[in-house]
Amino acid sequence: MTDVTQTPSQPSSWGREWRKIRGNKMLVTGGIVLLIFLLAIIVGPEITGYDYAKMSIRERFQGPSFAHWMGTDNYGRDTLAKVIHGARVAFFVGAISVGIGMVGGMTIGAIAGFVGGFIDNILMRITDALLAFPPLLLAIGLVAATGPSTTTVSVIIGIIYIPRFARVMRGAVMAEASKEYVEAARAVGQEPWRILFFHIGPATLSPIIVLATVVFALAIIIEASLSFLGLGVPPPTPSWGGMLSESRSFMTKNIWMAIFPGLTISVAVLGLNLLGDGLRDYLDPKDY
Amino acid sequence: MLGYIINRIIYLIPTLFIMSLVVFSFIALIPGDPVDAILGLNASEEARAAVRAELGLDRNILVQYLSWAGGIVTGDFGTSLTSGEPVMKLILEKLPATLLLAFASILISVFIAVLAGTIAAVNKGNWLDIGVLVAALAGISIPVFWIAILSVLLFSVHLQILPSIGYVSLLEDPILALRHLALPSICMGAALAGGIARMTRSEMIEQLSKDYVITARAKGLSPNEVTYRHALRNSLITVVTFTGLELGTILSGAIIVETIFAWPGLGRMAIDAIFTRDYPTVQGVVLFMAFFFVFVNLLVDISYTFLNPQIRLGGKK
Repeated sequence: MTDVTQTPSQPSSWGREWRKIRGNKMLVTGGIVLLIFLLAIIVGPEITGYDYAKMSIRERFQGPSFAHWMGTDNYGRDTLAKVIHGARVAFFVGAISVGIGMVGGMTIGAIAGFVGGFIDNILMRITDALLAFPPLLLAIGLVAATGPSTTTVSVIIGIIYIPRFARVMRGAVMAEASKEYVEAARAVGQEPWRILFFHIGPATLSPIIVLATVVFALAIIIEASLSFLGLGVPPPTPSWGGMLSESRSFMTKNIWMAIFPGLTISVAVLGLNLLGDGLRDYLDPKDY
Repeated sequence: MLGYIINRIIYLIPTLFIMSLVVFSFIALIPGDPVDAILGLNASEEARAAVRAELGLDRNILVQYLSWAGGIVTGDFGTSLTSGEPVMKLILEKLPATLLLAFASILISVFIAVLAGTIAAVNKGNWLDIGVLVAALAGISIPVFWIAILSVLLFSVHLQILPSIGYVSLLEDPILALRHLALPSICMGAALAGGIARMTRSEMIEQLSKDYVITARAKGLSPNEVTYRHALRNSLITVVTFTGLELGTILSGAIIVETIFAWPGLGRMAIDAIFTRDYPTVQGVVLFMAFFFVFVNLLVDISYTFLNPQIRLGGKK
């Protein structure tokens, strides 16, 4: 699919790639947004100087100020510290979901696309059925059965997105498997699993990487939706959806409790969507 | 054509079967004894036996599935543990509210999105196009519950022009019903519009570059006639198909929007059932919504192929 093989004899290749990245505004903007979130996650809520769980009744319902950049909640807790902790939760859920979706989906997709025939048919019928569920609906049903927790929610979202990765992987493997270099590898007697891992595998990564960013954004939205409905990350752990849910009871007292968590979710998801669109353009095989 | 439709319906059978297995597994996934999860540990032995019998938990799991699936085939989705009424009856009571909300939000989103997408395509590359693209991407990224909270804050709390919760039947009081419908449908419409606008834009750009458009221009038709009478009309097939396939987003959005606006539809019914541990109702609503989604996809698929002469006339797809 995407032939990115470059030899050291092309001195300008890095420079050319860098120019291509810089020229891709969506990729750069999305990348910067993601970096800011990652930085906030690494330094943690402590950077605000407040403990995200510490209540201070005298300081409750405050608007943005120099002391509390995003204001405080109904217990006087610093909203920025809670939002940063919420970012840890959201990105943890996103990473675990994408990890499970990718590993499961790539394995199923690779087997279906490479082996073909009856096994392909069975695997694809199962993925079709799972794809037919609206993701949030399936997540709600599964969480209702297993009970809410950060890990459960991450695993459930990951499982829900396995079929998407499987579909994309299968398509990519089938497209690659018919190419001449695969036939050549077969002709020289390479074992099928070697061909799949070392030849076809790397060539299928572009669409999988793009899908991973999209699924990361979707996982964040589903986690926030579940937490908003009281079916996601259980309180008192702050999560973006849970914070928005709490804010509904105090809308007339402090509008900022609803503004900042929602804005943060939107910026994070927008950043990931931009990154996904940018990567799609950047990795587009037509450019090579 | 008929062969194609029959094929598509046969193709659905394994999908529906696997979907039913997934929904059936909800009870099997409950950690420990499902009766404890439903009634708590202090329930009387009679109550426990009644729930056990209702759910068929005293039988072999295969028999449980066959009995449950047999009921589904005949339209029996089980009995609600909280109200004691058939789940199907409850679903049919709530369905009109969800359909009304879905229909209104589709109308709003298609109107906004087709207009915005067309303006963007006609002005490709300039600031109007960029503005629409940014707005569409924002629409996709902003979660529907945040739009809902902000709109309640603005229209109900500050301006006090629209009610923030509740439902009134259109037959009872049409004006009041529309006022109650406004905020939920605008929120869901806004969440849908981003994707449809992007689709309209890309489809319109493709149509506007086709030979028939060049011919129409060469014939001396005005730019508006070329855009709206020819290119837009041809783009709408794809846009309508895409909108139909977005039903998953609508159903997911309905769960959240109905909960926020206390809208008595299927989404709110599912959430209420989860909190009252009414598992037969959870299973029934989830399966009904999933089947509904699959059948609408089938209808969209069939109508699309009907509009595509290659398939309608028996040629290759």
